[in-house]
Amino acid sequence: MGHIRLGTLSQSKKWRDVIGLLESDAPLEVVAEAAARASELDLGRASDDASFQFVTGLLVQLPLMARAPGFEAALKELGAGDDPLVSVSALLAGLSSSIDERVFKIGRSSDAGELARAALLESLSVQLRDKLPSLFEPTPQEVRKALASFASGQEFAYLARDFFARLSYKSLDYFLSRELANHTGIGKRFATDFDRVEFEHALSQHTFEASRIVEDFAGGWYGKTVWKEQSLNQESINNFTRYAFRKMRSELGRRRETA
Amino acid sequence: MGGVAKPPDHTVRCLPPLARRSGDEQLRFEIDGKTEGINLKIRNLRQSLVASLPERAVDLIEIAAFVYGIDASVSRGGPVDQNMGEKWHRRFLVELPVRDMALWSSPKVQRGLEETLMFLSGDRFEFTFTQMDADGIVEPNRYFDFEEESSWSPDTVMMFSGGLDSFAGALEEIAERRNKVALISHFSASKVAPVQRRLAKALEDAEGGEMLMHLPMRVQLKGGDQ
Repeated sequence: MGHIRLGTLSQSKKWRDVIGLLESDAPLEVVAEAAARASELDLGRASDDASFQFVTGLLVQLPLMARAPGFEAALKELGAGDDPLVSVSALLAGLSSSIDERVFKIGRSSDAGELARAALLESLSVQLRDKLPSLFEPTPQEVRKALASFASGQEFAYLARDFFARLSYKSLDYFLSRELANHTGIGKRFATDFDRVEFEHALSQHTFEASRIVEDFAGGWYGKTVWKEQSLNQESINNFTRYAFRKMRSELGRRRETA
Repeated sequence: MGGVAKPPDHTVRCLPPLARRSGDEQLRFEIDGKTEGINLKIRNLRQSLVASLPERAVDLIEIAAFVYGIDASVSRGGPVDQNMGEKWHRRFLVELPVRDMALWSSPKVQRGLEETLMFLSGDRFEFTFTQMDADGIVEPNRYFDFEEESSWSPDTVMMFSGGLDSFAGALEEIAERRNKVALISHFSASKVAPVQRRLAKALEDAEGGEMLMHLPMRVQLKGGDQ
């Protein structure tokens, strides 16, 4: 059902500029900033997408839910299945099911929502494992405690940075992957597929370094919105994600200037 | 940041089939006011195989054909990206008459069907099943082309697209596991059908005709008034 079509980039001037930069062997920092600029409008709209909002809502609210009584019942209500706390894998599978459930109810899936889902599950997988014992399987209480530990400004900032680093990279890759194959081969920017993969790894590292800007403000936003003003709602989360994308874009621009 | 208006939902009404002089039945549906048709024919069957086909199985064949036709009748937005694939994810509100109303209108079955389609296609199909009246009931044999009867029966039934994955799977099943295999192919255009036939013939030549049977299934979107 259409899975054979990879698709091409939009023909807008901004994307034509990105293609020109790829052809001219421009440095990675320059390509990344131009691609972020070209995708800015689309990523800004992502914050209005219902599936995307549900995933970012989970990012912010899961740690708070884990701290509160009735967490297991809340997970069940979300559609995370039975016993999602028996392991990190079960929790991630349960959260993925709850996202499926919500998308089914919304009545339409979206690419922005799918990118956010992948970023959230990867971030939780990596960040939770760092907080859990590695020798033995964690107990449900330990999984819950590890998740709840992100409900402080500093710890949430680490989680948010990881999430936005992955989401930003996936967003850039979502667009660039349609074009990179056209620049792979003898006499082109990437002589071999290995060179193209190296470029993607470097882009991933570059967006991770740029995401430090998110860590810098996410902790303050969380402390103020959740604990000080107690004004957390979906609109405040949407504003946070819009701001995070804008800051990522401006940071990629700053890093281009200093490269 | 201003949002973009969502693409519209597509309203679909499945109509009674059109009997054609050639003997083929053409399933028809109306989508957003436009009538479309689907040609459906399953070949190489044995009469005994479908002699006591339950009504729900005939319903399922028709549902699958309608889903194929509905999918093929609405563009996903073309190859150039627009608003992060916004038109890729579609929503269809489908009114579909069935024979076994009790089965298809059961919430569990309907939910399972809709979830499966969403997983497979990324599209949201929302069905409203209605009881099929006498005018809509097709003699199921009109969907089939029969070969001579034989006592051959398969150990395994497999999908066979004509691609490398299904070919390798069929080869493993026949050559390594020594299972007799029924290979089910779908084709809508004339391009892929000869490829499927050549591959099935190559398997027959290499492993023996008794090891497999190829059952091609043509489901093809056509103009509704043809």
